[in-house]
Amino acid sequence: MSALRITDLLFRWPRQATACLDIPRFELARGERVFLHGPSGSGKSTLLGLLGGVAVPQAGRIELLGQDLAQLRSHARDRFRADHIGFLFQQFNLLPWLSALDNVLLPCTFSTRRKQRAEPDPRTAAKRLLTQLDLVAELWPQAAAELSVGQQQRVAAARALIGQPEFLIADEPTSALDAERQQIFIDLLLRETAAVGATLIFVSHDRRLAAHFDRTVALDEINRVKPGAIS
Amino acid sequence: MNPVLRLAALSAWSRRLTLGLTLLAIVLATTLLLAVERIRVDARQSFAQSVSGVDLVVGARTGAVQLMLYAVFHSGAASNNIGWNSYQAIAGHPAVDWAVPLSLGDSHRGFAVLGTRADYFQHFRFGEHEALRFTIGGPFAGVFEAVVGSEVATRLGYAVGQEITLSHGVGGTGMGEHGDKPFRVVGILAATGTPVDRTVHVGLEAITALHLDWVGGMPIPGLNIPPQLVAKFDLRPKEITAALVGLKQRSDVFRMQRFINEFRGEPLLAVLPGVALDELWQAIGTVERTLLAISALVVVVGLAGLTATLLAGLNERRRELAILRALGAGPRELFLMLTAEGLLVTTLGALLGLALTSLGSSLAAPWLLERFGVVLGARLPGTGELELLGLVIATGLVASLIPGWRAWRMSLADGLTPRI
Repeated sequence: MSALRITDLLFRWPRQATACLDIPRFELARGERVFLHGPSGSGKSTLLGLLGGVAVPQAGRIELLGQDLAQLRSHARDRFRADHIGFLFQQFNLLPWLSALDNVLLPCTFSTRRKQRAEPDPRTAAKRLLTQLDLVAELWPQAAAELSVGQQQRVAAARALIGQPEFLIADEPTSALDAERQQIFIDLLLRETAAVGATLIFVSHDRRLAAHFDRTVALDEINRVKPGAIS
Repeated sequence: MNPVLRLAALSAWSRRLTLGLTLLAIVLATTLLLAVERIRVDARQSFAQSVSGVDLVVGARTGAVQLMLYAVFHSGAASNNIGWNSYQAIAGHPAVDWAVPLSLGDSHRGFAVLGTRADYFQHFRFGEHEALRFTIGGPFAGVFEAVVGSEVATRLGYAVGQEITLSHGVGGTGMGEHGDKPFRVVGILAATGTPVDRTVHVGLEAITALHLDWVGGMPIPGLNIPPQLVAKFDLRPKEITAALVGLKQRSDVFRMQRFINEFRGEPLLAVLPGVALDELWQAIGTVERTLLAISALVVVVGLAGLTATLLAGLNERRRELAILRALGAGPRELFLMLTAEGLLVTTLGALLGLALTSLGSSLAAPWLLERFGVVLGARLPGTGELELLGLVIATGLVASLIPGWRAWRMSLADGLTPRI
């Protein structure tokens, strides 16, 4: 069974005349780590929103871990997202007024499944992840806003990984880091993803980062709408 | 606790300065509203209890409100007096327990002078059947002795032993002084929050004595009867302005009222003070309702401030909302989160406002009685106050729905990547 299978997907934002995504077919195997790139405005974020079940396509199917998202009502899609997907965004990823540790624990408060899968218990799992991601214990109780950008991104990675979600979605998570730290962070992410056997879809406009991924996909290869046609 | 609500509380705490200022505005607005309501109710209460324990107020035939105005509030003038014979007929009626005559028409530096008998101090009741109390001295005994109310004493700085002279007519019309017959203050009454505080009390005989050498509102030229000689005259009054009547049994009140209203000797009017006071309050009640309306507007302004604060903060919090969305929060939960925050601030503000009103009114009560004659009761919030409090919270809920709805819309439009 594949981790993701998209068939005949057609998506148009409300109040826009033309479609933004038209993807006849796209598939990811379980445990696959894919680098998805495309220029700004090519619909990358829109695609991630669809995978997260935040938006619904006008036509076509999105099967995530064997589940057709369109079959779920919106509340169930929110639950499904909380249970199975870990998200990593660009900077300002954390709730600034929560401590680093509490930020990592957030998915466990929203999802019972993630809480149960965080072994042996969420707090221990969070501390182990933070340690693996090289964040010293003194920083754990600090408010996220007080951490450096690099530290924040590692906390965000720990948060995406806690409770072993099967699917990891990273949206330009390294854009705020310098070149050297970018590579370190990506290596870290790839290693941790492999350790839990999760499927990773890593989105960036910067093709130079693609080196260590299992597969590289350009969005305009799978999307029949060309960037110029949008907006 | 619901994780979203827990996060809402933590998020609100992180913005405690801004929200604190908004909270303060709501606290003050609520306090103003509740204070106006409390003073309104209590002013009405103390007004309605300006006189109690009196079953009927009797005067010459006129309107009920007018009779109350001059007999109880010593304001305005009586169109007619009632004869002493009529008074005696009423006082002697078998149903009547006591009847105190009142004679008005003179003044002292703007304060009304009431001619009555010493048993007035014994029968007059105000509030919850409270009797008059002397802070110092006692009732008048001699002809030229006076008892002053608390406000008269404070404003004019009078102590027992002070010599005062009375003026003919009310309201300093300059109709002439009774300067030849000075009075001595023998007693000062405790504050009551009623017109008693603003009254100079003298004996009925004193009123007669003052006017021995007067005819038709003018001194008789060339006639001057010095005070030491007045005792030689018959000082029994020929007529009085009004009378307060207490009955042996309250159940006789309507029978007695009819007896007086159908009195053969002259046209008389008897009114039940409670009913007449209510009628009088209706006439002057517009002011209190206006005040209440203004303070309600202040509350609306305070809550509009809350909505504005939450809406302004929402733009900065788009990231926060998107993160929560990615973690599995639905639009409904974000709506709940924003609305709960507004409702929390409103409820907290309303309750603190209530506390502040209670504290403030218990601190200000003695001062209000002293300065304005308003009796502020120490008590639990009345139903009127609780209704207003409920209205404030309900309005706050409506005001909070707007940012909640915005958050909902935003989360649907933004998805996981806010466009900032």
